Amino acid sequence: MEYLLVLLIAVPLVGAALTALLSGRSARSWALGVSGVTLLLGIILACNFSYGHAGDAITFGGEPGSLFALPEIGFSLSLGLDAISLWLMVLTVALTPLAIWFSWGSIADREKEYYGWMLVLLAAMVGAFIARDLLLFYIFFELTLIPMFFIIGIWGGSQRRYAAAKFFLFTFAGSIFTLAGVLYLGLNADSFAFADVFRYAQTQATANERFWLLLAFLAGLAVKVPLFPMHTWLPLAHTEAPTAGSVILAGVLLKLGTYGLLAIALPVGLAGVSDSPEVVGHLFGWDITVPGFIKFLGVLCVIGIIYGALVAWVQQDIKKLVAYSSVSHLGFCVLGLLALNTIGMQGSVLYMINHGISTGAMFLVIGMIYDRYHTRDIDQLSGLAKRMPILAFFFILFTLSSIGLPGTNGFVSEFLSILGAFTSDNLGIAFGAVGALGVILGAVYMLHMAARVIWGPLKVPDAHAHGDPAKAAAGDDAHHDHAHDQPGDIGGREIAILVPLALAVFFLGLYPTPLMRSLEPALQRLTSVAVVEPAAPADSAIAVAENQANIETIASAVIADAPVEHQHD
Amino acid sequence: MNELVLQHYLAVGGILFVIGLIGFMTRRNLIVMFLCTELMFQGCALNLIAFGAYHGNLGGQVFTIMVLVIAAAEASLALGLVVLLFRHKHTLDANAWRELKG
Amino acid sequence: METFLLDWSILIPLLPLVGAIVSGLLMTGQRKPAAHWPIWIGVGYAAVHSLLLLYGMISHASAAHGQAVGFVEPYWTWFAAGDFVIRWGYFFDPLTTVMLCVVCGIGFLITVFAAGYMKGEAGYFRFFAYLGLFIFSMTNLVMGENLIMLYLGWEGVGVCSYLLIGYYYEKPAAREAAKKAFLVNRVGDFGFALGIMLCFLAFGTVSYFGEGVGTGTGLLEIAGGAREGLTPFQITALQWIPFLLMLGAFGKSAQFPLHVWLPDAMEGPTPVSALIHAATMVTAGVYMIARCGTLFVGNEAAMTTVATVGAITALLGATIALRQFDLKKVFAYSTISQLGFMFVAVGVLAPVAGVFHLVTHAFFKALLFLSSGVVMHAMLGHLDMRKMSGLKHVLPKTRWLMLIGCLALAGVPLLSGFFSKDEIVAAAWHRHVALGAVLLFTAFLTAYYTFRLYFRVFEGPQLVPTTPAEDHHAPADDHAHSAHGHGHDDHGHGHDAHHHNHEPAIMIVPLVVLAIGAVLAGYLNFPVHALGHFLDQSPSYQQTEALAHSLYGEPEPTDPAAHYAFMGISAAIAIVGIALAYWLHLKDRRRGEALPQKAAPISRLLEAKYWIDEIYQGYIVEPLRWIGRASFVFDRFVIDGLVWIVGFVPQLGAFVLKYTTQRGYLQGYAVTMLLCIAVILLLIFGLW
Repeated sequence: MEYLLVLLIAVPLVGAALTALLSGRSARSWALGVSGVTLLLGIILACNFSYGHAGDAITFGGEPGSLFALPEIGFSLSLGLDAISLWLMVLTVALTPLAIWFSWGSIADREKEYYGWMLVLLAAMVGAFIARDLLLFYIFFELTLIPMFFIIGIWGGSQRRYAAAKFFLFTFAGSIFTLAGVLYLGLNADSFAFADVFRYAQTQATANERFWLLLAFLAGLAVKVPLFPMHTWLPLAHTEAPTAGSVILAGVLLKLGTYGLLAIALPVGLAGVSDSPEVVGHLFGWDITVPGFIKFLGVLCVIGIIYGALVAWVQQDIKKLVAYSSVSHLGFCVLGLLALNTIGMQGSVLYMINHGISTGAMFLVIGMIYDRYHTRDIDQLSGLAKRMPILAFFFILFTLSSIGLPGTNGFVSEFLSILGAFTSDNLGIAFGAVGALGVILGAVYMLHMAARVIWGPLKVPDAHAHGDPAKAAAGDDAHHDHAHDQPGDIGGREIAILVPLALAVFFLGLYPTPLMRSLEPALQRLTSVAVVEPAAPADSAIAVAENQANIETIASAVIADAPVEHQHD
Repeated sequence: MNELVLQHYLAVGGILFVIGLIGFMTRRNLIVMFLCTELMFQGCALNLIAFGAYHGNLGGQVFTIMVLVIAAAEASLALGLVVLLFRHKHTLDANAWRELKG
Repeated sequence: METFLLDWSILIPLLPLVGAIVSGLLMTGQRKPAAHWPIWIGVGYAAVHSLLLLYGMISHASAAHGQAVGFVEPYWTWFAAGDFVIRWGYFFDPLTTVMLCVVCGIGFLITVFAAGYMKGEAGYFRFFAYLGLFIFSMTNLVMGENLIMLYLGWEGVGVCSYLLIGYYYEKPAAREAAKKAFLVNRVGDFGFALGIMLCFLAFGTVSYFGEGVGTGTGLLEIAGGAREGLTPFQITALQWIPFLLMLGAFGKSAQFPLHVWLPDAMEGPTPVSALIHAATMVTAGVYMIARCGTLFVGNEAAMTTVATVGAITALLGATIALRQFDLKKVFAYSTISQLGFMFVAVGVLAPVAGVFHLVTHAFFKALLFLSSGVVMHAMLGHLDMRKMSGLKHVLPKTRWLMLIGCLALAGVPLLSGFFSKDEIVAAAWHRHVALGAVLLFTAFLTAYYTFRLYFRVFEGPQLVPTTPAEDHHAPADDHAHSAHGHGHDDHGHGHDAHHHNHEPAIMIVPLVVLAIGAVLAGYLNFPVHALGHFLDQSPSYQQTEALAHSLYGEPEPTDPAAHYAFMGISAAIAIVGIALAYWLHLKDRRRGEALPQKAAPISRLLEAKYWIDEIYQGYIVEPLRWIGRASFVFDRFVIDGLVWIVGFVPQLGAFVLKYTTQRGYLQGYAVTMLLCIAVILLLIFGLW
């Protein structure tokens, strides 16, 4: 079973390499097949997963002498699957084939490269979710940037180059600090394995060290999420990316940030100290404590929720509207995470999955509209329900999911995230109440879009007006038969892409209990502190005491005349 | 007084180097500048030999031979380049090629 | 109580849902004209099951001799996170069964009516699918065993309402009305959701009765316990919870200040107005407060607020209705006003009277709406009472049905509305004279505006509009757009029906049933308080009453003689109102038309609906939108500007170097190099 974990990364990577050997047309089927095989692997893993297990139910590597291990620096190719990773991995392998399949209809040039990059992206995303080595996680985390950079930069819209560069530089700039944190942790803990790193942070690092490590991880992850002031790359990247790129970007890549916050930043920086009054830093004469810092992050989330919603409301471009809605939604997700209680964190993980489904689907639907009318301007489209009733059905369905209608997936996660913040000791009632305002605004902008695009009198751009010379030429010949060059409703392939997502919307809305039950032990493990592990506390306490003694001896030897008490200051 | 000590050799090497340096910085003819760099090389080589003799080992001479070989290789390449540049612009003025700065 | 009725109660919401799926997804195209069958079967089943449940509950309740009866029927764990475990389950007590019968019974009659009314519409299958979804949500709302299930139904009916108001989605007015209805409700739901969260935070559960009535594990039992047993935080929470929940109730039941969506909701097809916006959905707020009475009753300020808002809304709705000309708009404002009565009832601790009025109102208001639907059908889409008159010969059956509805609404003695309204007014008067006086005055206005409508439309000289209304949705309208082959069939039974038979049996029979209900429903609770005694066995009621007694003492028994005297007064008021309407709108119409000019400012105020919509638009929506625009500018120039600056600083450095040192002079490079070497040497040898 554990080799399946390696295959999960290897299959798409090898598949990507082999794409080079294919002819342009067959690359699309090949990519769909490879991603389908990956999906199959994911399903097999999910079926054989032992639910209720708190730690990694399936692991690969990590022992000394295993494949690709570099014991000199403490690196090893160690993979593992706990409940959180499992569900995010399943989301990834399920969403990617759909995105690839959608691309069949919208990517016409340089197909081989495109599908190759999609497969590389798949491998990198899955790798990041199942990595159990900090350095490996960082490698995969950064590796996602490269395919996405090319997907936006080559197959994107008119501003694609600028968008791709901004996306790359922005996220990369943030993650440089994360690299510093990764290296600092790994070199101090003599290992990059998650377990060792967390143990080091929780038992040996000082409060101040942990705080700076938290900041280092936040720098990279908050940009990826994106948390409020670091979000400006997102609307641009979403708008310029091709539809499949937006789907993957919103559906999975943003979740890398929240997953990193949950699975790495939380145990490193927050677990065990979320209520400690210890001062970890100073800013302009203010003492910073960890609880205060959590509140600060919570304020950023709440600002993001309200701000993202208000900005989404005034967008002209419907894709940009959905992009800004992601800023608002991810605010809920991180707010639930910061609650650091079971309710909030459950809601947060569920939010990651649900946002992937609903927003991914929303981008697909918008892509279908764009493929037909070559515009996303809210003023140029109206009353599509008349022309495309099936598309309208899915549009409204995913809109309702996105605004958190009970019975759809959006409700459970949104409600739990807010309730988590509401009942949290770290945040409190005010955060929940202001966050809940975002629920009103969420309905405002989504229904604003639905009212303009789906309802109302039918209005679409003239089929001859947009700059598609082939179509325009064909239209000249056939303009007596005007009804025929008007694009029709979505076809079989597009329906087949949306139906699984629609089913997931209802399934996760009506019966998320099994998923949530499996998450519970995994989340509790993350918030619990490493010292509860057997044998660890005694050893580390002695080690700390010895270190302290050594330092004092050396210090008093070097500065002979300084009083020893001074060292304690 | 008549004895040649280390300092004499070093002084000559230094003078050669400075002459080369001043020449390099004041002349704009590519060939003259190239010759000046050769002068600086020789100044350095003289120092190396002088130190080698002073310390009584062969290190200085080994280095000098190395420098000479490299200078020869470089001279063939550099003169070839200079000829090429001259063919392009029919001048040997170094400032004619300022746009190469990028 | 037969357990299989409880065990299979999930079929009540499930079959309408299945019906909705079948007719919505499968009954398109050629199969469209039969799209009502799945819904008829589903809702019909639900109605039968509800009636059986009611029967079972009555026999069980009478065997219990005044004890509370209630059954919890959990199905599966919907979701669970830590202590927050939400079951998908139902709760049955007298209140639930009464509500279920209203929802499913009237729902079934209206689906039958709708098959005739909507015949030939392009979106026929869509309409019935929405109706099925609505019944699914509404039954979950009244049957749910916890606040989250209530919330599920609450938002679910909101969405169905959204979809049905926007049924004629090509009309900009319809889509705006739909959006407005949903968003105004969302404002209420914001409060409701926070109320639920606070309940969980304070009491650790949101299930009404937990494991069962009397086990003390449910929210209502914990919160309804003795005040001494509660922690200080729970006491504080109980100060806030009623106000938060109330906000939700005000939104759903269109109470001031969240009433603005209901009149606009009349853009939906008339059966929808009857079912959702008169009989069932809008009463959800009353149901919620009646159900959660124990959360409210301990907080006098909250109860006073509910009663006061109810009274204000009753008066506001009735006054605006005076100057409306659209039949459906008149009834919409009348509904707002009548819902105000119900809120007064629950606010003055007379929830039985509130639910009683809810039941009678469901009958007569559905009757009135559907009758005006028949009028609209016959009048080619016109609903303006200035364009029609004396229709009693054109629509003879509808005229009698409408008259029965109007009499019931006006509160004429012996019809249902009289008894229920009278109970509320009496209870309000008992609580505070001002409340009672306002309601009495409102009752007078109600009688007046109801009969203003009746006399104008059905009596007097005959006047029938000849040209169709602009937004008339006759099937003929759809031929232009419809690509389906059966379009021409519609012509046969759609358009011709207008000219030959305005009152087909499929539409009239449900109306007759409703009319019988409108006449007789009052005797459910008069002269014997049968409904009252039955509802009193609901655990919600019993605990509310017990808590009220322990907090405010035993209520003084009302004097039956005074009660009958009161009935006389309110009957007299109704008669006076009708007489005034007769005088101004039948006998001497010119005087009636001149009256508004005499009181022009008041008339303008009423016609503008107190400018509440404009105030919301100008002071809430527009400012928010401007904040949104400002935020977008801020996003692009300030936040993104900071990012740009971060990127610009290295670029600036590069520019400086490019134009200072990297100028292309070989000698320049040599000098720079030399100087740098010199500096380094100086540093190395410590000479600097």
